[in-house]
Amino acid sequence: MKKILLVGNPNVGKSVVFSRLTGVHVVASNYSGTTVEYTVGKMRIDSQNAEVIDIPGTYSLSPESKAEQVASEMITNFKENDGNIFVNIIDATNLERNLALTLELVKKKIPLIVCLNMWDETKHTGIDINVNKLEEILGVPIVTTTAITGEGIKQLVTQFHNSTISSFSFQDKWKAIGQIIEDVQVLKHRHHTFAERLGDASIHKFYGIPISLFILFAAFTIIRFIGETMITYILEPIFNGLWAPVVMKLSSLLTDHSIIHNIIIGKLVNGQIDFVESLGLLTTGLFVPIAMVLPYIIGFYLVLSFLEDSGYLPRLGVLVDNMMHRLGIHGLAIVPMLLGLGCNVPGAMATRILDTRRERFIATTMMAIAVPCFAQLAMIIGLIGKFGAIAFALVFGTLFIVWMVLGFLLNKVMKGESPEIFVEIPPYRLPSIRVLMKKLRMRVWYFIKEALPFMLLGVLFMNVLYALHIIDFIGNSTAPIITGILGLPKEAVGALIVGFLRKDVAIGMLSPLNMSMGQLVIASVVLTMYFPCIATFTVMLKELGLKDMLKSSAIMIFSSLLVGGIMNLFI
Amino acid sequence: MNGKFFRRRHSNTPAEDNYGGRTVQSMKNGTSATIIEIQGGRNFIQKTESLGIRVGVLVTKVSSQMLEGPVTIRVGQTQIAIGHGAAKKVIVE
Repeated sequence: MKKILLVGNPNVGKSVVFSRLTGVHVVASNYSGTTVEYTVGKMRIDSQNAEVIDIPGTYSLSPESKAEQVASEMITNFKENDGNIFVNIIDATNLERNLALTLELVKKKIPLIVCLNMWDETKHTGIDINVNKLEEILGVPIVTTTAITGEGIKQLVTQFHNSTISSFSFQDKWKAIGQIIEDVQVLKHRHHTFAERLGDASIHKFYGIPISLFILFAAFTIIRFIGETMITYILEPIFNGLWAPVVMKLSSLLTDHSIIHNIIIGKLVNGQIDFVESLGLLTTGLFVPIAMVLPYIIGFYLVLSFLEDSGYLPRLGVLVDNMMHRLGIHGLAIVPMLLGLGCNVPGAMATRILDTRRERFIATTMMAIAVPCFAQLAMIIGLIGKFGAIAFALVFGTLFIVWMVLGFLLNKVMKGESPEIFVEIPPYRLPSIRVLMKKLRMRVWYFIKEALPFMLLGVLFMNVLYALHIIDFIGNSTAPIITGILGLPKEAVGALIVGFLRKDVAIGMLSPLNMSMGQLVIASVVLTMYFPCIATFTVMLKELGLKDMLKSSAIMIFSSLLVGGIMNLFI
Repeated sequence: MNGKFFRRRHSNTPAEDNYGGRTVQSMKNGTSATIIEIQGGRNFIQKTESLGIRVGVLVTKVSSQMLEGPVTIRVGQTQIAIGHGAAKKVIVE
């Protein structure tokens, strides 16, 4: 099958072009390295199927990070096959730097089409590019596009079979680029825009940190508002008013306390179902994912997607770089951490934007141990909310300290060094609502598709374990650790077992145990730290390899016992 | 071999502070200057070059963070954040 490969610098909009060509939605953001793995989609050209491949961004064919390595290898591999078309996507507002990769592709005698993307932005940034002249010089078809609105995509497709090997020859790459720029580009003088001023302020020595604190505060306020509003005004009324009577009816048809009743409906609390404590498939199994977790997931991803598309994240990376260096990773590692706060799986994948194996190990381990996913976080909020701010401060304060101390120690113990930050800061852009909604839909759908089955499985698994008295048995044999070290009731071991499937369900299991605030705090912290859920575990194994995964796991188990034990002594 | 005995926080050997010339690090925020030399290994030069930081180019310092934090510069149309160590290795006129 014919292959169309999208090649270009990071953050030039390859993923947006890809979505436009294939209709396959991939996550695109406004920072370098959103795509760390190549994505394949299909499209039809001249009534034939063709494969479109979205390659991670790279500045040159001599790779620096793992994502760039993927790109460079793919370009070399696919060059060998005839009929493959390379589309070199260029950020038109940044022609000079982008041409460096173009000329490297030219030198490799690769059949090219050049796509000048973000064409609309050249107009209000005072950049004037003579496209015909550029086409003449390079001798390959050039198409201007604004992928985000879809402008020019049709013309791009019609040019596909015109891809040519450029006959442009040069000695010194930068001299050649300098000459091209002089010939085709005119810059008009213009005043600083508001976005540029804002851009400068948000990485300012003094204002930068207060601005970032304000943004983070605003972010969490918005998430809380969205989550609470949806729960109070939509989901709880639906569950309590409409769903509860249905389930109660079903309950009356089944024998109370029978195994079937326990699995499907769970235990009745004072003769009524309690969506949090009943622990049945149709009660807690549905209520937890839909009415407790999903609203916060929607809120979180809406805010995260907005921050991603605005271009703020690399700037946040610059601000925290200094502190992060003491933890063995550079500022850009804030990106996998924030993604991990949504779900640890994409978080672990995103560590690929870091340059060395050492950094990736440190960042992944720190995230898996001390960054709870938002599903778990929503459940912790639900569980300890009644104790107020002190309980929150204890759980999240402890996790934050663990995160810092862990990074600090790993940086001290592990051989090697951590490279400095080196990242392009994209211009601020006002996120497009359409793109934002598309991204939100994708991520929420991913949650429903991946999480809901595991949650139901978790509830089922837990009931089976109870019914067969396995939890009692394991509880008794692990009592010295669970009760002795951590000070939790021995039934809490059930949560630790189910936590391997889904952490949010596990937190929910703590609810009927009548634990004190201290116990709930310890259990929340230990459940976050002790081991990743199976989905995260699988990705970590793939990213780190068996040996490093074992090391990472040992650190998790040991540190969770240590931290839980220490907390038990003090609270 | 050295790395085994001397663990360094930054990957870059700090350039000697008594170097006579001006570096991006020592530039004032908001000022521009032309790059006359980039010190460092082949990898470092390749990396800076691929982002457009190279000899003969006008560089503007946008901001710097406290306590030897990263430095943000503008080269052409691109804004780039580089480490404190790297900023010391870019010599300007």
